Amino acid sequence: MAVADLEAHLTQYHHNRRLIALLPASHPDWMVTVAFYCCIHLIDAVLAREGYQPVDHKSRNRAIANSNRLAFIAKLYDPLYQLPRKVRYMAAPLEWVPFDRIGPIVLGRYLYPIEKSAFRLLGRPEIHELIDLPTEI
Amino acid sequence: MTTNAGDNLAAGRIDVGVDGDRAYVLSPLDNDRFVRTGKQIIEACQLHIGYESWKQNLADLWEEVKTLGRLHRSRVGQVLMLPRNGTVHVLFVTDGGSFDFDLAEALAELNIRLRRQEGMYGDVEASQIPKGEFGRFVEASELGDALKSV
Repeated sequence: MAVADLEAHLTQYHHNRRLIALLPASHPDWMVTVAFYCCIHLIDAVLAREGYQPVDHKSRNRAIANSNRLAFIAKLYDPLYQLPRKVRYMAAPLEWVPFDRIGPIVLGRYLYPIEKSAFRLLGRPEIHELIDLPTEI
Repeated sequence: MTTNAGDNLAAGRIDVGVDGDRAYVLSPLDNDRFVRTGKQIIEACQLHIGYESWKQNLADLWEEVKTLGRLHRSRVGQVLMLPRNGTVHVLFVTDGGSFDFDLAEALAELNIRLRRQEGMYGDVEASQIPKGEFGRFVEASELGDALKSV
């Protein structure tokens, strides 16, 4: 197990997570992108614990899909994977992912359950503080 | 200049270390076209997947994704399947302007299965795009190689 890699990924996960609450309500497209990168680092931490280090999205996706331990995370991760890959290039990103979807759906339906599962897989106590989003525009 | 069989073999060599990420256009006799990376071609041979089987798998997948599109017909106006840089992209074109999370969860199940069965289908990725920004994600020149649902 690459302990240094695992810890580095968790550090980066916390670093990214703190940013979500700092982004203004006018930027839900970037909130979802940062939430996605939180998930990437959490998943890479889990994979590092198992001795695997994905080098790109394709190898990570393949590892997630083929791991029974990550089956729960896989179903929640893929929508988050799909979302920022398109929203970054859109002319109307705020319509694609409005701010009112961030709290209940992006965080509530995807990020928080992924966090809960990942920390359980890592054998660590979950530090599950809800992200304090800014007030709506 | 004469060319012997050995030269031809050398010219047609696919080395995973050198050509693994290079895209190859496969042109069978029926005027169909597919794009695969050198690595995928090698993996397909290692798995003993015949070209016909692989082509049939993609044909079956096309029927499956069209059915999935019909299940979400209130939001999905069209389904496309097109090759790009060694990946077959399945695009669900949504009529609405916002990301459809229910459709995304259906596509998640599909993507997970396709990744598990990569040896059957090659590299396939399903996603959704809004009709209003179609041109941002699909080039007009790609439509000639694409399968399109009505």
